[in-house]
Amino acid sequence: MAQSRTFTAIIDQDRVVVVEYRQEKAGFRVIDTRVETRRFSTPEAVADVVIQILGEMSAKRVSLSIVLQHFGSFFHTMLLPAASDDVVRPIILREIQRSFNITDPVVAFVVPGTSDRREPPREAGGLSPKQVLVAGAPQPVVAALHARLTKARIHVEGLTVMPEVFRHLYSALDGSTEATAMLVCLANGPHLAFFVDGSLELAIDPPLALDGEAPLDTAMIVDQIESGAIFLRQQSRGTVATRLLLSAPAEDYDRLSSTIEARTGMHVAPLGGAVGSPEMVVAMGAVLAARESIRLDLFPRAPTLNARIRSATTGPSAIMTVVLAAAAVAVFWAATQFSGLIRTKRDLVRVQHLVEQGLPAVTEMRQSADGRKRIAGIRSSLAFSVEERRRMGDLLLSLTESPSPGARFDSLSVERVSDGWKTTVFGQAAGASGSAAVSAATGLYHHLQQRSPKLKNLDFQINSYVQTPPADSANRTAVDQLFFTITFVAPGPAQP
Amino acid sequence: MSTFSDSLRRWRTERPNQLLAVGVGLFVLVAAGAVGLRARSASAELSERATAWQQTANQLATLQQQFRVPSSSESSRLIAESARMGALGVPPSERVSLLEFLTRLADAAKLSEVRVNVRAGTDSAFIPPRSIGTGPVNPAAYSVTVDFTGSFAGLVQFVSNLPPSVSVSRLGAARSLGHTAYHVGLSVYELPNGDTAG
Repeated sequence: MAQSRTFTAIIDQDRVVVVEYRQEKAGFRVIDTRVETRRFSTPEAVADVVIQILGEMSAKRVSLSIVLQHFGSFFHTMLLPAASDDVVRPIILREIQRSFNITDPVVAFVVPGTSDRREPPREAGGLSPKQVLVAGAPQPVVAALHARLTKARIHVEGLTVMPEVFRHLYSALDGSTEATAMLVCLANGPHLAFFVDGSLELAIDPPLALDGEAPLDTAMIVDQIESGAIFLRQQSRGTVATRLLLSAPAEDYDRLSSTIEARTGMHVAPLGGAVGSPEMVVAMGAVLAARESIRLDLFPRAPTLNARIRSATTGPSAIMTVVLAAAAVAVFWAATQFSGLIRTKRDLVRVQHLVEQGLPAVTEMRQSADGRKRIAGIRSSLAFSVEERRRMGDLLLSLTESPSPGARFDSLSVERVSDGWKTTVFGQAAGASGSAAVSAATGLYHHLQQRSPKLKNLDFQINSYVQTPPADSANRTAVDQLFFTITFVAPGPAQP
Repeated sequence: MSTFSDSLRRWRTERPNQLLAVGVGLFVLVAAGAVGLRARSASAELSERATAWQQTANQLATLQQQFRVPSSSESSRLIAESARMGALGVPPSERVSLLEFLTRLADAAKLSEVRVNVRAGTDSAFIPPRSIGTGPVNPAAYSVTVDFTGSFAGLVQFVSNLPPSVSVSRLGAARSLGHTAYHVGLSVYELPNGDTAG
């Protein structure tokens, strides 16, 4: 994977400077510088030029620090009571909207420290006001730069304004607590800043250059320094800058230095002389600014994970978090239930398919079983019929096997009932005496009783007696005759 | 000190999209809950049905496993046996043939003065029920009476050789003038016309 290359871009509406540098142990080494000078009417055009220059420099993986001038960018200092950022931010936004007439600014602010010049000092427990450094730009400008550079896969380390660069340059290259002015003469004019107690107190943009006027006119520069010094005295309780750090093109440095010393009485010292031209100095300042933890960075950053969690779980946003979390859980649960439903339905369809596949076989089995049952029915019905005939014949034979010679049947009646054959036998018996006749009659009864012990309701009744005189007068013996009835139910075969 | 309502108002102003997100989230919550509940209910219902179907499938598998397919010899034997179904009843069109058979049977038993008659209506005596498989063989709407004279052995032979399609409902014998008159009442099982061995 190609190594990341580092660049700084100083963007102006008339000029784009792209500096490639490499960080080394002793500092930064400038590798290449490209300049494009023409009027850029939109931030998109500036961004496209930066991308084009980087493309011409064959930069693939780019890490870029940007210093933005013009396009509505601004720098402002405010004194505000000590408060948290949540409280301070809306105050700053209202102040910026009121002062700079920008309805939708992108604002970055830092609070370097307290700034209390009150005499006498505050009582114990009193909170000192804080000086707030504010940088900003119209939201569409920042959004355009963000969109173009992000699309070109350029990593932007920082997007800041010129006074923030001066602040870090002063801190890195000088850092004196003495009231000091800093003058950086860029191609678009002199940039002036004042530091008191090591902190940035005042920053002044270059005045508008009229047509034909040299941007680095000595008289104009001196006037600007004098005006700035007066404003510093007014704002900072009479503070007077006694020294000036100057970064100017080499051909102008001596002239400017001697004139400033002569006109203002300030001691002039070079600023970043070893770095090179003022644009190189600013570029290095931009790098320093981009790598500080407390800085004015206008480039939109995705909030950190902790910040996102804190934002999502505090205040009214927690409502949304809870609702969305509950919705996500509900969706997950519903998806689980739905997948369970699909699975159950699939199982059901599978089992139904199995049963449907088996049904034709069942039909065949049922037909076969019906056939077997039918055959079994035929067989048992035939067997029943045969058994019925056998028992009927047996019944009739049992009646003819009566061992009693004196008894005989007169008539016989058999009727089919549910448990067999209800049989009624009418007969007569004769004997030399009444007892002999009864013995003859009951002999049949006993014969039936012994031969067929399973007979039910076996009954014997004597209907009448008749005494018959002897037919032969020589034989004087009379004959006793009786009529009897035997009833019983002969069991039939068991029903199949 | 800002109250929660102030915080809420500021939140609505600063992040109007979040209010929409809350609305969408609530809608999704309710919709997902409703869908989940419906799916759960439907799943429970389907589970019960699946259990019932599974039991059916198990029974089917057991049935298929235990069912013994008739062998060819068994099949031919069963078919031959089913041909005997015709003996269990008399089709209406075969009524006269039955009468002829009964007279021949009586003659074979050396019975004399044979009188065979058909009486309308089923005999009031008990008729053993008969069925083939699941279908019953119903008694015919008529009965047959056979009157004859002869020996008791002839009666026994006649009764013993009656066809399976009839059932002896009544039997009477009476001695008169040196000979015995017999009366046999037969109930007839009737097969529907065209029903043959199955």
